[in-house]
Amino acid sequence: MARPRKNPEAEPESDEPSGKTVKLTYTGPPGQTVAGLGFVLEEGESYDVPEELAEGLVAGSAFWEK
Amino acid sequence: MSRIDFVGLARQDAGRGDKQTTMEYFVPVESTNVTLNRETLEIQETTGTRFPIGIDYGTRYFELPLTGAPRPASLPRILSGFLGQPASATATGGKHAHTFDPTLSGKIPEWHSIFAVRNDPAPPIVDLFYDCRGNELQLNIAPNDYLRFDATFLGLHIDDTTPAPVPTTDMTRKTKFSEATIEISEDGGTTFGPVVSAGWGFTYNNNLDTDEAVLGSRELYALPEGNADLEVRFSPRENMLDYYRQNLLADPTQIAVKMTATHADGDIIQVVAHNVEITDAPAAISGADVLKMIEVTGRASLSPAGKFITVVVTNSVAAYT
Repeated sequence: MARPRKNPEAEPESDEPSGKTVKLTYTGPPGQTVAGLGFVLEEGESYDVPEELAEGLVAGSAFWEK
Repeated sequence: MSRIDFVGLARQDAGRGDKQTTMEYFVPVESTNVTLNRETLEIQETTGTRFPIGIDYGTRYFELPLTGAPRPASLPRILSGFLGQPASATATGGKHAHTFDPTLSGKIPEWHSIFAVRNDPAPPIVDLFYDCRGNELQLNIAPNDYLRFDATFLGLHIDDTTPAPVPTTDMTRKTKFSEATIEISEDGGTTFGPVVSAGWGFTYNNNLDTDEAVLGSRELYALPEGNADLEVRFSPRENMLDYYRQNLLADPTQIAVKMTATHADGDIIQVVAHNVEITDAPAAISGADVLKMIEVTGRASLSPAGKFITVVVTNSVAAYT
């Protein structure tokens, strides 16, 4: 059975990183981390967050603002 | 659960029914084995056959036992589900002290929403429990271990449609055994003296009433707090004869028991049981073992000053609203 060929013209899969970032401000307490960011968050700091994470962070945590 | 799973908590500002999809703290846990406590309707009828007929479901609620090592930033959010909202004040070193005292007016177990996400399967298993209140809370610490919590929430509802968020995980430092000290007071909490102890723990229970079924609904009508109970345990390795004899007295004596865990960065977790009466202090005889501690168990009651348990968490968080 032939394996389906990947269409080179197709859109990239949604879980592939786009390389784009979104500026988000963290308003929560220090000592918190986000898997994939690789650093410990500081209160009041703005971070360039991969856009794949940004929507889920803002939706899921009270301490992130666009 | 594996490491990629996560649990998040948020207080429901407007109380019951105010489901939160945005979490405040994502708390590292060792496990949470969610169980469904559900009534079933079944009647054994004469049907002319020996084979069973169907059942129906009745009222239900969820039990969410969270176990792990408390982190200073998120511990107050857990505690508010059991002891009510804290009073927050500025402390030294830029820290903030959050004091929990369930004897004060209005300090009732706060309603919480709790995300539980299992990321191993694809798609992930995502539950958002809401209308949750804390029922039984344990804190324990032993040598060569961390301070540990075992916090059982009871939840009335589940939302299985809200997608999993991206967690912002509380990674403030856990409390090690070497940072904890035990003290007791024999004068009603005026003065405390240190006790060389090989362990400490307490179990606080709100005894939430789950027998609140009503006609016309499969929801529990309410989840009210019942009588509060508090058991305190510690294991002195000195003055063992005194503790053993205290338990044999005709009438109980009252002591206050304090655990203080101080982190190097200035975060502090302190628990005081204000009026503890010893109910058990066994001294086992064993040819195989050295008697190296008396495992004292006590029942806490309301002190003459009207105090029961006070928990103070000092950390870098300004407030828990």
